[in-house]
Amino acid sequence: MARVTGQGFSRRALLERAALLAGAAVLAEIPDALRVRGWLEDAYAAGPNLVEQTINGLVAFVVPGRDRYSAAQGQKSRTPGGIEAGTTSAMIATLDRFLPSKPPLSATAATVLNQVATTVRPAAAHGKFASPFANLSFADKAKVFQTIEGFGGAEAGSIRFLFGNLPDLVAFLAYSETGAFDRRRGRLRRRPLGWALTRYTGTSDGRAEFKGYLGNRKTADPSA
Amino acid sequence: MIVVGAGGGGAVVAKELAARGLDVLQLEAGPRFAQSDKEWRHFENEANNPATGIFRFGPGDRTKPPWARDLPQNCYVWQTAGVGGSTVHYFANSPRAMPGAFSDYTGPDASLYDHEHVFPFGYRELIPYYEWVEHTLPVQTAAMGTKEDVFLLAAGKLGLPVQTSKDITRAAYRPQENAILQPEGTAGRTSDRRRLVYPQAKGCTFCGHCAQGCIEPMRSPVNLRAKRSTHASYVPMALTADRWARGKAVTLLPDAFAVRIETRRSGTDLSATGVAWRGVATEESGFEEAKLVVLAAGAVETPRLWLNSGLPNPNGQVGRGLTNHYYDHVIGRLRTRTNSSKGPASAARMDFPGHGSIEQIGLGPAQQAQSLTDSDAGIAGFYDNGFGGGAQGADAVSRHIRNRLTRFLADIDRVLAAIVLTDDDVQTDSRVTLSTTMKPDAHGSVPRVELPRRSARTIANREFLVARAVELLRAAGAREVVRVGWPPLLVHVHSTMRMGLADRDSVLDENAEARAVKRLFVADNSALANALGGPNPTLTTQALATRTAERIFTRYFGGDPWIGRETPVSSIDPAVTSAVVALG
Repeated sequence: MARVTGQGFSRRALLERAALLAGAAVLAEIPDALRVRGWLEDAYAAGPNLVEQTINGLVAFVVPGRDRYSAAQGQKSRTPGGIEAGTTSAMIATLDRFLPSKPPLSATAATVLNQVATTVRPAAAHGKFASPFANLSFADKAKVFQTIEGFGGAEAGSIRFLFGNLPDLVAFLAYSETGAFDRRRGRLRRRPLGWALTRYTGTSDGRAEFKGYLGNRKTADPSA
Repeated sequence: MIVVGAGGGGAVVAKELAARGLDVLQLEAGPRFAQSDKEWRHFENEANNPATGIFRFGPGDRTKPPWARDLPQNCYVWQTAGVGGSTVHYFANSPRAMPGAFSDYTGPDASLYDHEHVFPFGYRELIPYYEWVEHTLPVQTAAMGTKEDVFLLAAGKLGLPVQTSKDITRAAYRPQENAILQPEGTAGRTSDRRRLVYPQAKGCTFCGHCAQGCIEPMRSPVNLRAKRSTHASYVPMALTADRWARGKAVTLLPDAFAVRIETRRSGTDLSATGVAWRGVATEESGFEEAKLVVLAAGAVETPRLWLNSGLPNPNGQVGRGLTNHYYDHVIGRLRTRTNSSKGPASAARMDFPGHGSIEQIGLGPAQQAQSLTDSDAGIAGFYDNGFGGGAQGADAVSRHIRNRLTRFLADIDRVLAAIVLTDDDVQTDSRVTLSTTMKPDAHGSVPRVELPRRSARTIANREFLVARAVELLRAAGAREVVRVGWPPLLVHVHSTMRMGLADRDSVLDENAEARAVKRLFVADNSALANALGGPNPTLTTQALATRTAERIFTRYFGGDPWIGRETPVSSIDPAVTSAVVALG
């Protein structure tokens, strides 16, 4: 599966190394040595549109909806999904606040996803979206995560941390209030989509839910 | 004296010694949360977003990033900086530890525990301290809602008995003993917020927002909030110790990040002499001398502070031996209602001595979605990351995304979830060090938390408990049950500055005083000798912190012990309420 390049390294090995360096950049705020790496330049060059498309592709992967990114991966939903819930912008903001860096963490994440996407499916570089990751099928997106989560070596730890948390952060945001919340006013603009999808009754100061005590015992024996 | 940290353990030491009349300065890196009823919100992202949430590990100014950690593996850290520490988001479950985690245990199953890393004293010795804390918080038997009803009924079907004592004596199920006030008046009996105002409502209102901080019942004095975080219990008592006791009120300094422990050598002894800190908002530097210092910054930050201070580490044990209960998440989808999003987050449990514990858990939609997708086991049908665990009877083990995620969340109130709390072994290579890859921040080198492979006993315990959780959910009538295969979740983080029997493998002696530095004590989860057999750590840390406070008072301040001789004052005592209200 791995191809050997003219320099004698497999493409996969190069890929891993480049990803590691991108991850190390996140942690060490870009050692000078990384500036010459192609991926790092890609991360710097990743404009808002490319980052947004890539994160859209990620959000559709975790919580598909009726949007064109879900359609492109071949896995739609009958109900609206994470993109319609406003997850993408919240995800980018969360990543970039979590660890401010240059390039931004969202751009680093997007670059790694896109670079690995082109190795999983080279044709993904020329698709409907500028983001190769967003052009992948659901199964190929899973291969991207399989590849990244499989990066070996102690140096790959930061990559495993970042990409291990991306899907669950997407899920958290997609089902939260974030897309419908007006932070300035501290209140909802509308009912969050994630609440409607889960039939959640919404926040409350209390519920009529008290059922009593097991065996009517209100206290435990103090000591055995 | 100075206490570093106002979380689950530090607040206990501060209150106990303030009540004895000592002059206590308490430093807290995070915000005060002085107007918590206005600052805290029930919304999940507002409260729990790891980068921007109110309950993140970072400064009070949420326009600034959280404080960095070097985390070289897939893992998730859920800690809060601020007065109350992580008890502001905790579920308040307050079980006692398993007796097998202590040095005097001789039961037939003694070999099942981490017997190489037991507490350096007996379980019976800790009971009076447990009782003191249980009265102070107070700890009560959990009231039940629908999800607890379903969980406990299913546990009974497994043939387990009900545990009725505070002590864990056998494999059994029970309602939690938790630090949540039982509902009174309209609490738990209405969703009409106009009727949920104190004193018409008292205790738990079953709002379902434990993880977002407890501000119920509305308009209650802070010390009468339903959930007994130290923000609502020990801290108000510490701040009013001159009013309800013949003590001296603690001086609490929030937004003050301790950056260095100062010491002085006298002969062969090295002793703590003070603490340097940095104002998080002001960026000013401060220093205060002290006769004695107690570290309670948490199981990650306490070893970080030690190492950043250049304190001696002769046996190399500082930061080593991190245990975290190697959690897992098992969830079932039922036809019947569970009301999983309502009521206390976790009010029922099963304990399996020698293996660990299982808790029922209810969450809001965002955290339940996160719980279903946070995995080390790949995506079912595509890859598994070489995940070593089995299905144990579940229908799938996976990072549950796409169809299964939406299917499970199609009705948040028809799922039943169980958390596995594994009795995990102390392993020296699970540890906190100082990062060499990340740049130091304003508070010094940042902590690096490494969690390599687990021991065979730990893995076997986790598999055992997952199997029991699956059985339970099947017995509850679940038509689909899945395991998630969580990566390390750092919520119960312990034993990084562990106390132990021997010099060679522990940082603290049996009094929780550092072996290498006199007049320096530790009173947070890091002082625990092990993972307690699986039960939630806060109560044991608080009992141990009470014992530590007593040892400090008798050894260094010439006082008399009080545990077993005096009657504790509850944090909900009218005298405390009056003092809290008067303080404003």
